[in-house]
Amino acid sequence: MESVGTVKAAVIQLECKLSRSAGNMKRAERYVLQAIDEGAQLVCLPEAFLTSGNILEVSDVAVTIPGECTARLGELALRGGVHIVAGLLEKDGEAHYSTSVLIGPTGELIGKYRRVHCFELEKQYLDTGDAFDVFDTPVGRIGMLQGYDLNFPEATRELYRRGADIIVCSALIPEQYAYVTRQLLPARVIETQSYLLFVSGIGSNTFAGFSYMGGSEVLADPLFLEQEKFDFVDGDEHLLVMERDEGMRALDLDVRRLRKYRKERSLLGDLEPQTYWREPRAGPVARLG
Amino acid sequence: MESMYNLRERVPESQPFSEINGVRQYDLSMRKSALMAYQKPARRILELIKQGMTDIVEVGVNTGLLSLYIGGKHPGIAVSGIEENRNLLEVAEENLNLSVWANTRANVEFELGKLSKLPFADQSADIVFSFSSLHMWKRPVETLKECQRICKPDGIVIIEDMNRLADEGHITFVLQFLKEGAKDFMTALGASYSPEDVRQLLNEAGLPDWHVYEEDLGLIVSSRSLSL
Repeated sequence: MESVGTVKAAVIQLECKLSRSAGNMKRAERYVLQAIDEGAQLVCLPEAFLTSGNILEVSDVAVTIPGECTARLGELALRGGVHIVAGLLEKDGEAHYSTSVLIGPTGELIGKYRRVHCFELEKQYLDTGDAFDVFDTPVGRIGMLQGYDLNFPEATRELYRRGADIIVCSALIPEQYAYVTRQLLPARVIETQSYLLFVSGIGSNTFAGFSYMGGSEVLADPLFLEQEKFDFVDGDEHLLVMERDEGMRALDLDVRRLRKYRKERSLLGDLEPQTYWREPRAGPVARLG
Repeated sequence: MESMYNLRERVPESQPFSEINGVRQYDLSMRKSALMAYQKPARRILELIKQGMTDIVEVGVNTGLLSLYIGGKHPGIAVSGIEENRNLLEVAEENLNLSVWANTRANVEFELGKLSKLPFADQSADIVFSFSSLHMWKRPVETLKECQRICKPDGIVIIEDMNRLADEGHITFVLQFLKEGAKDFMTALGASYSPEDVRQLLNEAGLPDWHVYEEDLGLIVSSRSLSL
């Protein structure tokens, strides 16, 4: 694992507009350049940032990876010497995925994550991924997730087992799930002893009549922060909280100290993998009274 | 001569378009009965478009009609509109969404932003235009400077709005077609600038060489001379 210090990360809360790929890309580019100007090393965009959550027309709007869009993101990454994480609806032959890409500072596609969890309606349009890879980079070991995955601790646990320092969850979540999502975020970051970047899109889904929640957040494990900061108070684990406007915010993540903390306080040794995901044991049913 | 209309002093609108339904009503009335007002500015902009142009910016998109029209005629050119009034932007977005739904090939994008700090790079636009917005600009001198900043050296800035001190015959002519909208029209006219006001703004912005023209009810400001 490479040695990593403090990393400046940028969250781009983009308005993802349906059927407006050119405009979405144009605004995304501008925010990426702004993040580069502010010295960001890791720049993150929401889920399906180019097309919004247009799964009804996914076969028309999805892009190939690599392809024109990742090439453009690669040019931006090269220009600023930054890593970029971005969510895209991906087309691969007949299959379609909601995918996050990780692009490196020389513009190369380092890796991608195809969302593993899709809800029932989505499954009519999207295929599911089958891996939680992590990627060693000069800005830390990066794991990627997407919004709906937050409902599944199994997803973050897999990234934790693989040693992710920074989990980038590119999201595009309907507003009605905003409350629940905000409750899940601290849980997921505590479980994973990591930094969690919840990079959330805003905008309206004009097909389905709902809006996306925005409310991007960056969180760190509060137990880590408690150890690091003498004046830590509960709630300080939210290092960044955005409201409902489009914009870019950058902040420093101390990956070196996080790794040190995790080494000392790892939960991994206490896992009991042999007890998980077993078939319920057949046996006598307890009789009460 | 005694004036029929009390327009000698400029009276800025305190909160123009502060209510969304009022904006929708305004937009509807423009689309139903006042598209004529867009004809001349539209034609002027179309005539300025040359081969190889890539970017056009509208400063203050109102409800988006002019950008949609220009973008529809030139789908190869990116048309970006910035508006600082949230209600106007919302209705512009509604119009754009309908236009996208109706399969326009235009590359048009609207955004909320400060007109005194346009989110575009220096010398990035071939044409910077504005229509019926100048009288609402919160910091007109800074916005004029921004128009200059983002315009390419061989590009053009063209800003059109009403002339508060237009010939009263033109005002009377327009008023006869307006019913419910007459009061709003007069309020907007009262908030508009006179040619002299605009020259002063241009001087303050360090743009004394820009041109100011009067045409019917309108006032046209341009970074280059126009043959009107």
